[in-house]
Amino acid sequence: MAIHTEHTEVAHKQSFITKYIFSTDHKTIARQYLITGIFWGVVGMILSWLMRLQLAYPNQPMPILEKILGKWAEGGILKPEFYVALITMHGTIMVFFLLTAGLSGTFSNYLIPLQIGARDMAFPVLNMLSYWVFFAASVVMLASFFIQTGPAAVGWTFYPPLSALKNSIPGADLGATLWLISMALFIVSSLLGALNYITTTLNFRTKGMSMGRLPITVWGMFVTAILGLLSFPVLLAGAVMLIFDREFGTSFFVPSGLVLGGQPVPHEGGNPILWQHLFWFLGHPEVYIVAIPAFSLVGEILATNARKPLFAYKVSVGAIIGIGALSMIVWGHHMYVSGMNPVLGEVFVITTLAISFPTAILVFNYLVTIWRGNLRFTPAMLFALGFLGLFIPGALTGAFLATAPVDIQLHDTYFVVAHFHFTMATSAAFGMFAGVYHWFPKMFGRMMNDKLGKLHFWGSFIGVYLIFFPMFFQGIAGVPRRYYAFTEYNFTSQFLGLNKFITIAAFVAGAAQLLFLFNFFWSIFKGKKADKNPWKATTLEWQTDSPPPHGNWGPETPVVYRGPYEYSVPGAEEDYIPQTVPVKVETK
Amino acid sequence: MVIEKKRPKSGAMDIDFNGTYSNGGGGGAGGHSSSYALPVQPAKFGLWLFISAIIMLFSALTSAYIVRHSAGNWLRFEMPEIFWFNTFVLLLSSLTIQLSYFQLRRDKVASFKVLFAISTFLGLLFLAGQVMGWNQLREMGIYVSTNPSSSFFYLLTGAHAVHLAGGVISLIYVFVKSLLGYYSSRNKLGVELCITYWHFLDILWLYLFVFIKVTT
Ligand code: HEM
Ligand SMILES: [Cu+2]
Repeated sequence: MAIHTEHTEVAHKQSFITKYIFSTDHKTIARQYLITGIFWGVVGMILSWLMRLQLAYPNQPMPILEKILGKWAEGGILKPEFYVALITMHGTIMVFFLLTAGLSGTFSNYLIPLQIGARDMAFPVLNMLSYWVFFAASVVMLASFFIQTGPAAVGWTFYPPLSALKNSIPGADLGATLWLISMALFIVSSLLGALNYITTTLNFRTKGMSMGRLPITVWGMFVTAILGLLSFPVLLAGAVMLIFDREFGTSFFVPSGLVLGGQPVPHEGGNPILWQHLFWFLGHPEVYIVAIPAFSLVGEILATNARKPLFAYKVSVGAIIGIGALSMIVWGHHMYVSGMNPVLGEVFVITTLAISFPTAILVFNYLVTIWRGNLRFTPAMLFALGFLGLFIPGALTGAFLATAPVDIQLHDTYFVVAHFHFTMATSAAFGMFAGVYHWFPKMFGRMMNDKLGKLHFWGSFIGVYLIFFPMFFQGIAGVPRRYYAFTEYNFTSQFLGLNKFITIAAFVAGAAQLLFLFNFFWSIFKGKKADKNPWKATTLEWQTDSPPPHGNWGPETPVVYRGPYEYSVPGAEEDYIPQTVPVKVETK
Repeated sequence: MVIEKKRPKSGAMDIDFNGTYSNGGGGGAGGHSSSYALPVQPAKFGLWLFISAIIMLFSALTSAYIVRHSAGNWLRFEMPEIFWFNTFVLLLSSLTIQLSYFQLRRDKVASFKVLFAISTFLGLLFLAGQVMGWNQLREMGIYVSTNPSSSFFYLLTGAHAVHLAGGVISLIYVFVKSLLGYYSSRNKLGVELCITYWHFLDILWLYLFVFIKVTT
């Protein structure tokens, strides 16, 4: 750990390598996370297009697929094994690599030190390691696409016994091993990150920056880091046990009496439900590890662009803490149909419904924040509003799923797919886009194009609704998720037309993302130069240069005199007062 | 907790040899007065966070253990005696490392080094003893996959050994640094971090040992 006793005041030169590759500067690490995240977002999106093609045109040869995918699409038709690999890798990549590492990695790294007035993270070297371990996890995950047996194909939830027996299906062989290795690395990386985010927030705030003056973003990242710190080790425990089952012949998760291909399986006495408990003990907090950062970015952007203080700041902070705490005790709602004791199920119903309260409070505070505000519709603001527009229907449907008797009908149908794509997937992606548009000028010193940004928003928002809203109806009609083709039964094949429609919408929404990619990379080099504070915002990062110099501040770190959201203060000269402006003593 | 009294001058830019800015330890950013920061050295606080993650890991493993144990078909076996011996060795190492710390506080650097070296050696002895214990179990015909009870036994002791090996590496690292004349009563952070982690591993082992003893 970089703890040092000598303080020299010499400037130092950075070589290309220490500046851009093995950099310990939190701003560079944030950009590395962002670019890697975008890479994974593109991969995940391409996988989703392949799935959608299959669902819209089952059994119709598309020669181009064979050209791209080779043996996975012989004769132009996707193999069922490969379809399962697609859902597995799409889920894993989007949930962990884009919306956990990409989102938290980018914004916790970028915003925590800048918004609390620190020069860097508490442990810059660990921070660098965190990125490079994530990079290694990425390489392993990517490599699994190119092996003989293909990538993991047992669902992103990795339920045994399918995942515990290497010879159950091809996708449970080497691909699943690589998945486990990659995820173990991923967990290590996220722990290193969390250590830094928590310690930095508590120990490195500048003078005047009390906890009550932290921007909501820092609170969000902080609570997220605690959640990750406490829940990822549990997944690691499960993953290690799964590795034992797969490599050393133990029977943690493999039940007795299993027969595979006519042969009895040598394992006996394991309990597959145990994995579900371990997985969802992480898995549910994980969905909030994704949602809370998005929520907190959105809160910041709403207040800035509504030119109003964030409504009920303290209550919102309390709600975030409440969500974080409750999210650790609701995991059982994923397991209502696993045969758990109904009394225990009922307990999980109650805790799950309880978590809707802080969630609703947070949403209401946000709505009041924009109510009668002087709204500025920047692309960031549009995405922040879009976040609310996606999260609300998702959370409302959560209440249905939380009720065990209703969930018994809806479990493992497209209703669940629609639910979590609204609450987690698309809304967190919108939060992330909002964050990128908002902080891009600070990160890269240039502005992104406004018009393209707005086009990107409308394409995405309409596209996402057209894709996922119909899935609620498919789910209510009983269409199961994770199926390769819906041709066999009438109650599923009746939706073939709708599936075509959804697929077209998916390509339209995808095309909108190309606008973003172009805008992003073009603006890094060619965008209009940004000044210090293009959005006239109050928090500390906007009071230093764009991009901030190495060390963030000049010779003095800033001093904070007021809360983060002093917008439209009556009697003030401008409609915002930065946190660094001293409070004048009233003299009459 | 020891509060670091010496802080860099207010607003001093702290640059270490890597070209990394640092915020100055133990207080507010940039060396401001610490009323806005925890009165804990950041590295120590970070270590406690790390320890809480490890606690979660072992809570998960031992909860799984309890669930599986209560489901029956649980082979009972007697732990080889060497595990008792190892437990004693580890306890002893905790004692010697704590004594070494007392010596360092009084700036008795020579005896600090001796005691610290002994602790490191005891740590290595513990690891060697664990390996011998596993070998004896295998000779008794109790393999990883024999029964859930043995699977869990190897899993828990193995996971502990991995963490302990990390501890031994850090002890060796600190010991080498102490040979280079690094530590004194005023500069002992690295030693303190090692010792905290070492005591934690000791307590963790006691927990696992009692846990396993009661159920096998
Ligand atoms: C606000 C209250 C919420 C409630 C009451 C709720 C409830 C539920 C329930 C009961 C399920 C299980 C459905 C089933 O498998 O049969 C579920 C699935 C899911 N929820 Fe939520 N949820 C809420 C919010 C969220 C949020 C905010 C996120 C993400 C940020 C989220 C992400 C997910 C995911 C990813 C799944 C499915 C995982 C899978 O099986 O692959 N939910 N939700
Ligand atoms: Cu959940």
